[in-house]
Amino acid sequence: MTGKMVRIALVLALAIITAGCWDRKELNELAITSATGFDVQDNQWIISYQVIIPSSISSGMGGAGSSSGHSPVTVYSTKGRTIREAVAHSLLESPRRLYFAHNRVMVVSERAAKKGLSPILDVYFRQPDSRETVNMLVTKGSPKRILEQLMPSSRISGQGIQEIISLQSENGSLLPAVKIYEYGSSIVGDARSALLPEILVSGSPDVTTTEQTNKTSQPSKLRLGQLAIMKEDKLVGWLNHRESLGVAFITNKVNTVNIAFSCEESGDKNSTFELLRSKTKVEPKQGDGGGFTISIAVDAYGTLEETECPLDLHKPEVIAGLEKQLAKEIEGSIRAALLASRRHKSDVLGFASVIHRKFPKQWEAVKDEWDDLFPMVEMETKVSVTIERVGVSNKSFKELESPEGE
Amino acid sequence: MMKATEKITALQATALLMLAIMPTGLLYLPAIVTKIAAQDAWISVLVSLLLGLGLAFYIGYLTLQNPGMSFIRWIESRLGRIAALIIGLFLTKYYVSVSAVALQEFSTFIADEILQRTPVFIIVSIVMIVVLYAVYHGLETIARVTLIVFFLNVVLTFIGLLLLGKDLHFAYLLPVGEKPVPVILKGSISPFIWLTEVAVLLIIGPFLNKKQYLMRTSVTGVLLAGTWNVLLVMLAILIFGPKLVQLVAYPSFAVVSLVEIGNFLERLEIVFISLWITTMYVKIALFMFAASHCLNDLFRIENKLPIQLGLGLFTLMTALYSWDNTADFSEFMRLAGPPHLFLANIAIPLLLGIALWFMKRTAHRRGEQNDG
Repeated sequence: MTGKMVRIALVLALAIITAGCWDRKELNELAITSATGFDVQDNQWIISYQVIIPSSISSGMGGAGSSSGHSPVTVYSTKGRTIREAVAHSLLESPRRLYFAHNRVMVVSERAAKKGLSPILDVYFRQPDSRETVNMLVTKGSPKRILEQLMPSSRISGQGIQEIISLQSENGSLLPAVKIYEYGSSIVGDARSALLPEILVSGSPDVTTTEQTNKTSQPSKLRLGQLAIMKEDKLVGWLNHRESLGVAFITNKVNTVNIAFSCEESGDKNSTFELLRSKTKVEPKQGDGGGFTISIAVDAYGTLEETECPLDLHKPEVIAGLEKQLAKEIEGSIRAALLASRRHKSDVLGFASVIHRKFPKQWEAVKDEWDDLFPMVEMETKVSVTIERVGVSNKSFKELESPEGE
Repeated sequence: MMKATEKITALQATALLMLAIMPTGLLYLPAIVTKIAAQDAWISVLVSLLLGLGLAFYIGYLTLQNPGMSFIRWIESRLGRIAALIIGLFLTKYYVSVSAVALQEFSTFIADEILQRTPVFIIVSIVMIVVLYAVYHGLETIARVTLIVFFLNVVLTFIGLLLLGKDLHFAYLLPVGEKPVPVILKGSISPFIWLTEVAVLLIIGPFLNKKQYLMRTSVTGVLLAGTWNVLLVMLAILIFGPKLVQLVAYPSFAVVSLVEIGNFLERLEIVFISLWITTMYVKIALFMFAASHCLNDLFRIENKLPIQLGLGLFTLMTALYSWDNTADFSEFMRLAGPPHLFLANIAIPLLLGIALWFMKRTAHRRGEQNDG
C-alpha cells in the first residue's frame, strides 16, 4: 500500500517538474503585448509594442478613479532590418521576453503600407504564438503615437481599439473590422485588393498619462478615420465614409447602419433611417462585345428613426416616397464606391471573384489584364428599401407645431 | 496465447481503422489537395473516398477468407513458410516506417506549434514510452482507449463546427468544377493513399469477436475517415479560401484558432490540438502493435517485451535521424511515401488475393482428381 502511495507521489512530482519541458513560460518573465505598431524608416522596420504592466492593472481593475497613478501599459519601439530582428532587439532593453499571444490590434503606418505588408503577413503566419485574428489598422502618422494614447474607458487601450473597431463594424458598417487572415485571403483573392480601416489621434495634446485620463474630458482621443485601399499589398488610396458604405453594400457586408436622408426630392438631410437588415445580390452579365456588366440588387429593411418633415406616416404612399428617397441615397453611395474604385484602379468591390465564379472560362482569358479591364466594367444598381416601422411616434413633431396641426 | 485471449469488438475495430487514417491526414491533407485542385479539392477528396470504399470492400473480403488465425500464421498455412517470411518481414518494415513517419510528423508539429525550444529527442521519447506501454498491454487495451479517444474527438469536432458557423464563406467553393477532371483525379491520389491504410485490418481483423461484422467494420472505418477528410478540406476552403489554405502549415488547427466568441471563448486550437494528440498516440500504437505482432508471429516469439522494446528504439531512431529537416521530410513524403503505401496496402493484398485464389483452384482441382 505504501509502495503504491510512493509511486503515485513520484508520478505527481514528475508531472510538476516536466511541465512545459524546455518551453515553460513563466508569467512574470513575459512582456504581454496588447498592441503592436509597424513603421518603416530609412529601410528599417520600427516595431512598437504596447506592453501590459501586470502590477498596475491587477489593482483597482475597472474603477477609473482608483488607478494609483501608474500607467497600465508601457510603450517602446525597437529597430531592425527585418521585423523579427527588430523584435529580437527588444531583448537589449526589456527585462521580459515579448509575448504576442494576447496581441489584439496591429497598427501599420501609411509609409509601411505603401511599401507593402507582405513581410508582416509572413511573420504572422509563420510565428505560432501570434494569432491570425489580430485586427489590422492603418494610421497616417506614427503607430507609436496611437499605442501611447490612453483611453479613460478602457484601461488597456489596445483592447479598447479592438472593441471600437468591432463595435463599429457590427453596428455602423462604415468601416469593416479586418483581421489579418481576412486581409490575407482578400489580397491573394482574384481581385488582389483589400481594405483596411484608419485610426488616428484627433486633437492635441496626446493623452499619455493617467492624470489626464482622470479628467472628465480629454484633449485628444483615438478615432477611426477613413478606409485605406490596398492593392497588391500596397496602399494606393483612401475611401471616405460614403464610399466605404457603398463598398459595404456591394460586398454584402452591411450589418446595421444609420443613414441620413432627405424626405424631399432635394433639400437638406432631415431624416434618419436605421437599416437593420440588408442583403445584396451580385450578378455578373457578359454583353455581346465581351464587356462585363455587374447588376447589384440591394434589399434593405429597417426603421425610421427621425424625421423633420410634416408627413402623415400612416399613408402607404408617404412611406413609399420615403423609401424611394432612401433608395436614391444608397444608390448614390454605391455609385460613389464604384467611381472611387475606378479612380484607384483597384477592385475592392470584389467584381473579379464574382466574374470568376460565374464565368470561369472567360475569367481565365481576362484575368491577366484585369487591372485595365476593371475600370470599364459597367454596373446596374437596383435598391429596394422597406421601412417596416416608424418608431413609437406617428407624426413628426414639426407637423403638430404648425398652427394648422390637429 | 494472445490469439485466444485478445478480442475486440466491431465498434472498436471501426474506430481503430478511422484513427489509423485520420490523425496524419488532418495535418497535411487540406494543403496538399488544395494546392492541386484549388476550390475543387473537396471533389478530389470525395473521389478518393469512393476509391477507398472499393479498397475497403476488397480488404474486408480478403480478411473474411481468414478462418480466425493470426495473419502471418494464416499466410504460412496457405502459402508456405517462404511466402510468410517475405510478407511478414516486409509488413514489419512497413509498419515500423509508418510509425516512424507518424512520429516524425507528430514531433515536427509539436516543435512547430507548441514546444519550440524542447529538443525533439525528448518529445519523441515521451511519445514512444507511452506507445510501448500500450503495445505491451496488447490490442485489447489499445482498442479500449481508442473508443474513448474516438468519441471525444467526434463530439468536440461537432461543437467546433457549430462555433465556426459564422466564419464560413460558401462563395469560396465557386466555381465548382473549374479544374478539369484529370487535375481533380490527381488531387484524389494522396487522400486515397491515406485511406489505403485500411489494410491494417488484415492484421487486426482476426481479433474481432464477431467475424460477421468484418465487412461492415472495414467499410464503415473508411467511410468515417473519408467523410472526415471531405469535411476537413471543405472547412479549410470555406474559411480561408483555396489560396490561403496553401500558405498555412496546419490549416485544420488554424481554422479553430479563428473562433472568437465574446472575449472568453477564443484560442481554442489548444483544445483541439490536445485531442488530436490523443488520436496520434492511438495511430502510432496501432502500427507499432502491428509491427511487433508480425515479427513475433513470424518467429513464434513467446517473450514479446524485448522485441517490442527493440522495435520501439528502432522506430524512434528512424524518426530522429532519417530526415535532416522538414524540407527533407516533405521531399521523402512526396516521392517515397505514396509508392511505399501503395506497395504495402494495395499490391500485397492484391497479390495475396490472387495467390489464395490460385491455391484454392489447384487444391480444388486436385480434390476433383482424387475423387475421380
